Amino acid sequence: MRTGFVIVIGVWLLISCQEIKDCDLESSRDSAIVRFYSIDTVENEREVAITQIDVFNFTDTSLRGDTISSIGLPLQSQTEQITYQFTMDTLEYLLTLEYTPHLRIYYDDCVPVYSYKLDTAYSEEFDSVVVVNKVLDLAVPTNLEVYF
Amino acid sequence: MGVLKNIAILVLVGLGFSAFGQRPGQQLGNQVASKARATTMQDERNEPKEPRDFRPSMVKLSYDFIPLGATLFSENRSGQAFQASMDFDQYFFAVEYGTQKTNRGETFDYHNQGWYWTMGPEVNFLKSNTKGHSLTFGLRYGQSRFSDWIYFVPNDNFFGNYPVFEANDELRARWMEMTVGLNAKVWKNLYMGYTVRYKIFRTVKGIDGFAPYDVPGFGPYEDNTGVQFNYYVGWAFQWREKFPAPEVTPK
Repeated sequence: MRTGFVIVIGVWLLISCQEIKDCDLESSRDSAIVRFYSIDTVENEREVAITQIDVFNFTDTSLRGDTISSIGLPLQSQTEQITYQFTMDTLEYLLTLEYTPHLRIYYDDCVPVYSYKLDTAYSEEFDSVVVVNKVLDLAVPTNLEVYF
Repeated sequence: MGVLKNIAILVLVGLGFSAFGQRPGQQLGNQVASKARATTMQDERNEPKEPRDFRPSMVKLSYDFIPLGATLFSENRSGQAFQASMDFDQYFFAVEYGTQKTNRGETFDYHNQGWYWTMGPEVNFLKSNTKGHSLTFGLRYGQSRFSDWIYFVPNDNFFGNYPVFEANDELRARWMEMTVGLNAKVWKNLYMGYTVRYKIFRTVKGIDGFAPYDVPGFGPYEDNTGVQFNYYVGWAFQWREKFPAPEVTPK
């Protein structure tokens, strides 16, 4: 009876100590979430009609234009700075993001994952750019606030 | 309140009965026995203690067969590990050195290689075991130096598929260990035994933009703690008897 109890406890402990090896548990995001605001009414998000979004120094990389109030700007792991060009009507706005990529391997079976920390962001065309959260994570709704 | 009082009375009455229940002879016998015990303990206290002998009597050199098994039977891991320990009364001081090389990954190509050492004291709970067996608990401090690299092609929907090569040229790790070991003298000065280690307080310096997967001597980097099993076979180089036979004076 006692031996059986010890064996059950042992097996239970062994199972409990096993790690949950789930590749989908990773929560980092590879794009910075940008929200647009009007400089006059900062409380409300601003919907903007964007014709096209291009990436400087990267060919064949552009995001489809749309009327949006927020957008995720993808970051590239092999560089630490990226500049996006927003075309709105005939005007062009540049937004530069500087960041630190960090590579991790969680398990043998999982694809290595880059996580990013947003260091700074700036633009000469937009009125103001504020980094509100440096961590790019699925739980973070906004990384950058852009006012114009 | 009344119930408590009744219980207290019952307990006191019960104690009284038990005291009266003892026969006079039994009571006397108990008193004599306790006096005798007290006298023996007094004598033991008055006896001069045998001085502890902290002079070392041997150095035990051991080889860890677990890394050897990995080298022979695993395609992804290889290494060697050695341990030297010296006795000081019921204590040991152990030093371990090892090398480790790992290759990992299904969707990536990861290589890691380096060396490590650990050192620290152990206490033998079988201190009077004249046969040389030991059951030890120990604390260790460990360090390792290693390098690693990874190559893979991420599946990037926006920037396309591009090759990634990242490397850490010089990484340094350190940690602490708690060990429990059982060691037996099996033949002449040949010893065999195992050690189970629980590793904590891991820190790694030198990481640039890429976290290593393995830390030689510790285990996976993502785990902040580690458990390891070692099986040692060793030979003790003895230069004096730890428990010399008592001298017999001829009549």
